Amino acid sequence: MNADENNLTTLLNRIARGETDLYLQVVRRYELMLRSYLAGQLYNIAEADDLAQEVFITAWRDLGNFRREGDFGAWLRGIARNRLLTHFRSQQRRASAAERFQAEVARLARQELETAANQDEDGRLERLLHCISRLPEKLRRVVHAGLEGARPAALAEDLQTTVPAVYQLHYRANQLLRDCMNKAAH
Amino acid sequence: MHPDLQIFLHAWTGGTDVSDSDRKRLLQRLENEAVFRAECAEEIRMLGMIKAVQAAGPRWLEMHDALGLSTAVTDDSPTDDLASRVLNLVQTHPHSRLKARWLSWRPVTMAAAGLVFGLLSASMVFGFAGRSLEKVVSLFKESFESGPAPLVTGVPQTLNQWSGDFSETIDAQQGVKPKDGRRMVRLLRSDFEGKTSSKPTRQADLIRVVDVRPFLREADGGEVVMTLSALFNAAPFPEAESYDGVVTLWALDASFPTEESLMEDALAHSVGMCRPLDRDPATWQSASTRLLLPPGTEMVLLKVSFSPKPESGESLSPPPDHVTFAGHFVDDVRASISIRKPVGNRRNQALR
Repeated sequence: MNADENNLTTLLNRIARGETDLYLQVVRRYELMLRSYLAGQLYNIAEADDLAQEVFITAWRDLGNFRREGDFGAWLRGIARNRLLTHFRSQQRRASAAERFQAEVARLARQELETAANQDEDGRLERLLHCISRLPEKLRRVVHAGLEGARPAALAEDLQTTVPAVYQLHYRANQLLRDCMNKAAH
Repeated sequence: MHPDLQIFLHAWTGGTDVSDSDRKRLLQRLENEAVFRAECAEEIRMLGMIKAVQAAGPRWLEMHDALGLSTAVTDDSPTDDLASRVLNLVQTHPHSRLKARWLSWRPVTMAAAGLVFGLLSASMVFGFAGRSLEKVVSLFKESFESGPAPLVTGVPQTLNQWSGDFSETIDAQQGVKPKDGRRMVRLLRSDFEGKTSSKPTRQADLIRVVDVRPFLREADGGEVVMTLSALFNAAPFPEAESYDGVVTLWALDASFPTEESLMEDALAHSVGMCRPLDRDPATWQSASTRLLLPPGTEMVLLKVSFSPKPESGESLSPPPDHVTFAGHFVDDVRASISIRKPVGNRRNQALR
């Protein structure tokens, strides 16, 4: 067990003894990982954040069931996976075509998304913010704007380019971000 | 990037103009082609990470309730009080005097910072696996209980002064109770007194500018990240209408911006939203964002806004004059700064 896991175990034991407010430290530590995991399957960050909150509440209630030698992040993702399934199921009837598509993608690409999440080491997500700030101006604008709904079209107009070119710029930005995150890791 | 990946990303990010046959074909490719599936998974994972990392963690009021904690309790708030108080003292002075004030307070602030490091070392190191230290300083927690009402003259020209579009500070109103204390701000219109811009906007803004030079100096080459969050609520509004609560951070150099120059002058910006706002006056919704301050940042402009969404079929172009807001409220605005330093710098700092 490394120092980090020791810290977590100590923290969880103190929470179990009634120091409830320490749970916020646990939330703080795993929040970005969990929100990022959920946003990778839902894209709508507000929905991802709502589910992340539910996951943390469930985890809080079930903390006694977590085996101290286990991987807390993986345990949280397990709860998140179940919450996602319930979410997609409950949305099924009234979901739009786009939402049904997202749910299908999440189902089909689950293995790939899980593997990627399991391989993420501590600090990788924190590095992403730094890497975004290092992107060339044009790519940074594309990344800030995102690809949601009508944004690529609006951005294409701003940048006096085409919508496919905006997607291409974002694709290029994603490649640079992956490189930057990997370099920073080494 | 091949065309199918683009259509896939467009469909996945909510594109409504993707045909059913395209969706079906893409799902079939996903199911049958491992390389395509891996490629798509990689892209949507990156999009998710970008989304998550650019939007600060929300307040999660429900979780605080479930834990039996007040929303005022955060993992940094109990111990950063001293630093926060000192910084507030420093920052309540007008821009022209700020430098001198900061210098005279600096030793005290550093002492406060040392106290924060001492008390919070465990939680600060936590997220960084021993590679760096993080100090979190609360800049302000504003619930509009006392102090002057926000000015209604657009972008403020003084530090730490709320200003913006037409607004008023009020008690409970139209079934909406303040989230924190007895007062809250109601945003009234999307324009301000003496607005001369020829470009009307739909958004109603509350704006504040803060000086961040001390933090960048203290970071000494490390990272400085600013976080802004606010709570939004509205009296019941017609179903045909839809509103977002928006928080924005703009990193600026030395000059105070005007409304027109903001987009061009900013070194970087980030946006967070709660969308769409529900119609229940009993619930407050949170929006938050964070921004890694680029080198050269001297001030940050913080903006809290209501943004109406155009009804379907309505043009996206701005209205001729201004938008009036029937009952839209903001409360509990918080800003904090995280200073992240490599662990090696800690020893150096102790020796100074």
